Amino acid sequence: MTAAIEADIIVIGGGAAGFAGALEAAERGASVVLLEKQPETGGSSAMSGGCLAFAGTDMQRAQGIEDTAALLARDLRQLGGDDADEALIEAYAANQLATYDWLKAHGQLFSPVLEASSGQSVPRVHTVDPADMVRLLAARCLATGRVQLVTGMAGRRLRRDSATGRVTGVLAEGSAGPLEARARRGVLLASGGFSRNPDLVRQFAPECEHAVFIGGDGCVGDGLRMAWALGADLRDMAQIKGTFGKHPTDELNNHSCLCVYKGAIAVNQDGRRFVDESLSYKLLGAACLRQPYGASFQILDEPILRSGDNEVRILDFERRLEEGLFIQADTIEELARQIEVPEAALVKTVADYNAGVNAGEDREFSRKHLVHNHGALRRIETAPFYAYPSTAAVYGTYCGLRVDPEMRVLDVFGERIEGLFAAGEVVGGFHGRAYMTGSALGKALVFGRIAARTAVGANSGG
Amino acid sequence: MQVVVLLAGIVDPKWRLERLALRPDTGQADETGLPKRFSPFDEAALETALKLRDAEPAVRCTAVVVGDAASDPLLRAVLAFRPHRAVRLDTSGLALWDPLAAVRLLGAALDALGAQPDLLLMGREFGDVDDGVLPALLAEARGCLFFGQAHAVTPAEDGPLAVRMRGPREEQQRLPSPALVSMTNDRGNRLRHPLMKNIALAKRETLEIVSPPPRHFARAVEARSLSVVPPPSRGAGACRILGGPLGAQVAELADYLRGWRGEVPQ
Ligand SMILES: Cc1cc2nc3c(=O)[nH]c(=O)nc-3n(C[C@H](O)[C@H](O)[C@H](O)COP(=O)(O)OP(=O)(O)OC[C@H]3O[C@@H](n4cnc5c(N)ncnc54)[C@H](O)[C@@H]3O)c2cc1C
Repeated sequence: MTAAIEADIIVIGGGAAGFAGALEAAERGASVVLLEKQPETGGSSAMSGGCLAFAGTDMQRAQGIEDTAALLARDLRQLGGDDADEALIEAYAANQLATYDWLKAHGQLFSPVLEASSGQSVPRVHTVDPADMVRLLAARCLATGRVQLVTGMAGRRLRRDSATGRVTGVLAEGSAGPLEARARRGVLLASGGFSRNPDLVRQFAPECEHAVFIGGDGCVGDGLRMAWALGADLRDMAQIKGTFGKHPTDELNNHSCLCVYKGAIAVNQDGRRFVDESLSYKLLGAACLRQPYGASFQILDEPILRSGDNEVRILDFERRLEEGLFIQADTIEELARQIEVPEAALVKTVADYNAGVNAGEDREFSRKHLVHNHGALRRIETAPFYAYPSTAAVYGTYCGLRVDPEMRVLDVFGERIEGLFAAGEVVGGFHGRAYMTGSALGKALVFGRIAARTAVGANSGG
Repeated sequence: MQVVVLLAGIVDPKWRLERLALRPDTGQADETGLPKRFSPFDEAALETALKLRDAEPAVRCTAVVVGDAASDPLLRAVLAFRPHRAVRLDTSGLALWDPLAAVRLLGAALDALGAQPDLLLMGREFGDVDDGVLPALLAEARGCLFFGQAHAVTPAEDGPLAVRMRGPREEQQRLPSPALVSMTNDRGNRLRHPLMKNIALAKRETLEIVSPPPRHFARAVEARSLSVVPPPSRGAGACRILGGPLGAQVAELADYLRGWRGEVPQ
């Protein structure tokens, strides 16, 4: 006989979205069973850079940074273009500050430095130790006494009431056999993206073939397919892109390195720039994959290298220098020889760029800022000079199930699939064309909590 | 100056070794399908050769990967660093754990390559089964000056200079031709990353495989069996994982640290 288990809410996936949802539901009195496929929880969340996009926080105020939910929403809209779902942007903007406060109230520590990164008009990257954050949420879940965690248990199929069509549970499978997990109030899909499923990625984004793929081992799109099988609609599937700044041959660092956001330029193997480097790193990634060999170099000088921030993984230049990942030379000519790009071309590229900085006008690509609308450009002029080999890596799939702002999953006709909720990377429609640093992990937490509130009936209309 | 670097590779320790056996009727480990990589010593030797190449236009750098077809990915990896020449020396039928036989084979191979190296570089341990004697034996057999466990070989006007640290001392040796230097790994000789462009080019290159002339390399050492020894079970050593409630674990750790005098064994 198949083993069975029952709770108010069944959560599939033990990453940031799953635990945020489980904790929120438990704090509202609901019982929760959280199924995690892998032997360990954490997913992509635990291996992430730990960057969270929050606006209007006490940390920002203390550092004199003026930021608001409205400015955050404007940036998200600007980045996402027409593809981003306005209702989801509003939902994020309206709930993010409360989620920051909630995290803090649960004892989450943030690194003291705030940085501006991809897509941000002001410094709003709030950095946590991501693995610690997931552990903290998991511990808080268990402390409520209402959350049961089952690891090594993969959700396989959603169960529906044959009469009403309502999702009533999940058929799961572990090493000991199958498990019927019944949900009295709803199933929350928090199973992450599918960056570790190259076949599925290829189906939607064949141009990413040469990218590097990084993500939690369990992130192969199970939840997406389970809901898809029930007719769920999908959003942003054409927006899968690699993120720029991954060293193509370094297997130790999972993270990108974004020297461009501190003033570096990106050049291809011909020694030429190919993009406005202040754009979202998702767009830089797409541009990079179109260059010869799908690779490029970030070119910088000593002051830019020293302006990195060792507390933020995507900006910790000095540590990577120590690891031997930067190529270093006393002159641009020598640097060009080492990276085997034509010397004259690289010298001219750097000279033209510097002249543009002086003149306040980048003739070639109209770059105006270090990143998005933030920071004044700097010349590349003080030896030693450095090159950081860079390609694009798919860290997340940024696309997935269509949900309403209460995180109910909608089918291809725009109708609710009753009893089914989704949050985190399995959700599409929020990012649209480009991507803001900290909005994926942020989305996991913020949307995870919204989904839980809807499922337990705490949101209006839930 | 002809620099030849000999590279063996090892079974990638990142993956747990589930099976290991001799190929039937050979003295060879059956490593079919096991992922291989260069050891840190191989990498140090290769980086040293590349540094010499970069510093001196007159240096001709040949990289020799020793192994059977399973080592071809290693050969492509080497090609991505663009040595002047890179070949795989086919060792089908030879087990490196027999150092005398291995020396004979490597010697014959160098002759087959037509290489008259002024400087031979190799890792301080060669492959998974060498206990460190192979470089010295090979030097002896080829009439080379031997310098073991070097950290660096730097070019200089009157011949390259090999350097090693022995405790607080630094030892230097001017290298005559021919010389054989075994390298140990060090911060300064960590293998660089190849350029993407060269990885892509290396993927398309035709591989050069050299087979030493068919000759009988009598083996002195015969292995009869080979198997994986399971790692010691947890708790078998002096280390133990604290158990029980978190508070009790913290208290036990604190007690332990309080009693600890920080003595370091001499
Ligand atoms: C290297 C890296 C760096 C990143 N850096 C950042 C950053 O700094 N800021 C940012 O905003 N975003 C970042 N991202 C993206 C971000 O981490 C993810 O989008 C986010 O953490 C997703 O959270 P999640 O809870 O939805 O999914 P995950 O954290 O991936 O969790 C999903 C969980 O579900 C489990 N699961 C999957 N299928 C099943 C199943 N069938 N049954 C049961 N369980 C299942 C998985 O094993 C996994 O544990 C990064 C990603 C990576 C890979």
